[in-house]
Amino acid sequence: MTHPGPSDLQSFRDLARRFATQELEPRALEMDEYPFRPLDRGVLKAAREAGLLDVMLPEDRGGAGPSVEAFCEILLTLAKSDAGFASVVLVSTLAQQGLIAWGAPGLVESRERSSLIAFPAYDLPSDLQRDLKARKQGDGFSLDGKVEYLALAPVADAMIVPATLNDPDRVGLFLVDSAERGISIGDPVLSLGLRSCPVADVGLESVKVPAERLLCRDAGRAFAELAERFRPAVAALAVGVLTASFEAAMSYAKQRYQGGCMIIEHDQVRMMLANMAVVAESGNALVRAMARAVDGGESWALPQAGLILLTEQVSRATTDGVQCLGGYGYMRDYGQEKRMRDAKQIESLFGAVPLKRLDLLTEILGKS
Amino acid sequence: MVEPDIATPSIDTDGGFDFDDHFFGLVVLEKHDPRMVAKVRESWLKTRRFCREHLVPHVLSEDRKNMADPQYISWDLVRLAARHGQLSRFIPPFFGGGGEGAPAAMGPYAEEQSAVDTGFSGMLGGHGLGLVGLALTFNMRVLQRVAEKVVAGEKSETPYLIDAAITEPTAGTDVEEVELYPKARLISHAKKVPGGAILNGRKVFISTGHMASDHLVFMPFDLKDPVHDYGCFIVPKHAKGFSLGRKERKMGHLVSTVSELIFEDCFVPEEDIVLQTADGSGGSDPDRFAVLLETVLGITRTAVGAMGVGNARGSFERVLALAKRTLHKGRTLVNQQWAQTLLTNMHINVVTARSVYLESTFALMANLEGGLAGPLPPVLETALARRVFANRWFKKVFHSEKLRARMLDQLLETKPEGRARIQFMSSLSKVVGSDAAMENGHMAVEFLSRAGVRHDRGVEKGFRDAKLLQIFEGTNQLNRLNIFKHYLGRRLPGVKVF
Repeated sequence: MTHPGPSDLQSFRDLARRFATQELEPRALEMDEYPFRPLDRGVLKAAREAGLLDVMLPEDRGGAGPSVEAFCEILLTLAKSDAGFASVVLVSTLAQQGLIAWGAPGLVESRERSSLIAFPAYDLPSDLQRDLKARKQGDGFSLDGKVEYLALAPVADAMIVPATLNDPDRVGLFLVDSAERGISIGDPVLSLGLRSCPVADVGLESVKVPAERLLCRDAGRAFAELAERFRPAVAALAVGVLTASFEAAMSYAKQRYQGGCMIIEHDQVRMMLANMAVVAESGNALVRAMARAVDGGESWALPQAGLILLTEQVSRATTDGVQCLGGYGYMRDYGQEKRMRDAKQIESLFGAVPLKRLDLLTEILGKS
Repeated sequence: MVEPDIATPSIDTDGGFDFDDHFFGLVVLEKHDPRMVAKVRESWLKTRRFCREHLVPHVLSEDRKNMADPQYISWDLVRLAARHGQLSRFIPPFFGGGGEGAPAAMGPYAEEQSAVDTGFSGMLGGHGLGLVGLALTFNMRVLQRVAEKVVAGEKSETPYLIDAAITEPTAGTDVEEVELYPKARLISHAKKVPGGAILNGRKVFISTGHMASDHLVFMPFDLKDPVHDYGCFIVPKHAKGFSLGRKERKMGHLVSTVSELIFEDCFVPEEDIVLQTADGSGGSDPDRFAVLLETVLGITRTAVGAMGVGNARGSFERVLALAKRTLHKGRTLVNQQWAQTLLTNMHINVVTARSVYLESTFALMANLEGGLAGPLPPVLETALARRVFANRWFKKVFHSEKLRARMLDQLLETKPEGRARIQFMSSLSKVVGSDAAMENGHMAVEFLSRAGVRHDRGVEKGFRDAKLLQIFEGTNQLNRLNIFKHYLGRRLPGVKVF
């Protein structure tokens, strides 16, 4: 894998910052109204034009190459302005990279940059959902059942879904067109956070899929390998949110008068801010270390451990970020409560936290 | 994880636990004061039935409607509460209310409501704060009038609620603490004029504001000395010079409207001035404002602790319901050791925080002079008593300034150490209860991932609702300082307290 040089990283940062300030910041609160307000397709279009949805494509196909570190830089910056849209970039890139890793070359070329692909980003890699069954039918398959809480399903043209093959313990991943007959995409699910990254339940009834759309037969392993590469990216989302929460809390604390002085003068407020700084500062460094470990194919435990640590700490710290703003922190206009919700939702990407812990230990035991 | 298909989350799954599983202190007390504990039991059971049978079906749909439309107001829930006598439950029977006013009933009642919907509890809490604030002015004339309106309103399609307006745009925590009050940046003020007073200014974050028919407004006459020269006023929603500002958009507690109240040369006639200190109506003890504010906060902070316990228990119950039906690697979650341990940790938070709000309740009962010790004497609960209280001549005595001064004096007899005990215990209740709620909210969402974050499973709502409990009624930061000051500060002469 290639390591991006400092100037490459800077150019990714600049690209993301420009997009975040021009496109995301002014619209973040409005986009958070989804599904009660339609999705802002303009932002999506602008992101595509800026190349944000293709950054991990190989350089000869218009991307910047498969550097997780560079991708994390972009997510850190985007998530500061709107973690919801940053997670659209994450989920779409996950699906795209999955397709590239597992798909037949022809399929990949025709698909990789055409549109958004929905992906079960909230599934625990070691325990993918199994409510969809694939039956062999002629040359291809017929899919029946449902996929719950599929990220990007309301806006994607295609979806990658897990389905059991013959015996319930064998799960494969399929690429299915959203418009295929027999597919019903439910209403967008109202969620705690990351609301501008739409999610829906999907029902499938006798959906015909040609054989080459079975991307892999061992979804457990394939999904886990992909998730492993993207753990630093999820952590980057979290740290980006926290950085914004910290900045908002600092600026409020310097302006709010209470108890005879500005609240920044109160030790208790300083303690909360300091704790946020501890997580933000070390989080930034840890995300980079995690990304480099993944890019270098080195330490396998660090990304999972770092993901658990950072998403948990960030969800606690953004809760304090609201506390620093008092009653105003709880109001939607200030954007601070959104960061707390977004951070909590980020924790659920790739499954429940306690199960991530158990999986980490299983991994450690397996290698020792 | 494979999750069950459920349209509404089941929260009636705490395995039939009853009063005796939760309130051991009260069960022991029952041997000594059977009448009081019987009242608590009755109130607890009534609340539980109401919430589980009538409130549950509306919790998620009302939350969602409020999210979809910022202008939406949950009038249906107000009417539901009214139909079931929830607005007058603590009003004494001689005013026609439910007469459930045993102080020990307050916590279990708030806990039960909050377990099902913390926002609903906050909505009725705003109304309760209005009534408690009014009761503590001992202005029996206005109190009787308001109580009768509440009772009559319950039988109509337009129920009567009252809120209490204290917080200002630049002063939140400052007006929640006696010592900080003089430092508060207040802008609202009242001016004496012939025949009444004129109010000017703004109040913000007023719970139940858009639902209230009358507002109980606290404003100083003298901005330079707000502690000793203040007034308390009834302002009807249609009063000239009064207008409702925005309905705040919040993260949670969505059914509980939080409003801005605007006063522009708003005239309040003499009869609606509930209390004023400048000319000494109702006594002019300089300490009275402090005792009044402390007592209100002693009650409300204890109640917020109980709301926190309810919220924490609601999270626990929802997770338990889902854990019984959610499969992980082929087994239900509730059959896995890690899940049982997490559930137990959530349960531990509930039980420890509950014992604190109960102790805080007992601290109020033990230390506050003037009638919080137990239930009303039985004679006051008879139909005869109600007739007597409606009598014109009786009212003359009951509403007299003389009687009022005596009741206020009694409250003032609360000893300094008693006041300190109420302070630190109610702050403890608030901090421990709300922290338990937030922590259980975090754990519940983490436990369930997908099911934890989607609105239709009910878990994430508890998480959003929990956060407000750490903020209102004085932030937990302020309350921690208060605990140190009143518990340890007294015993550490020379140590600076904040």
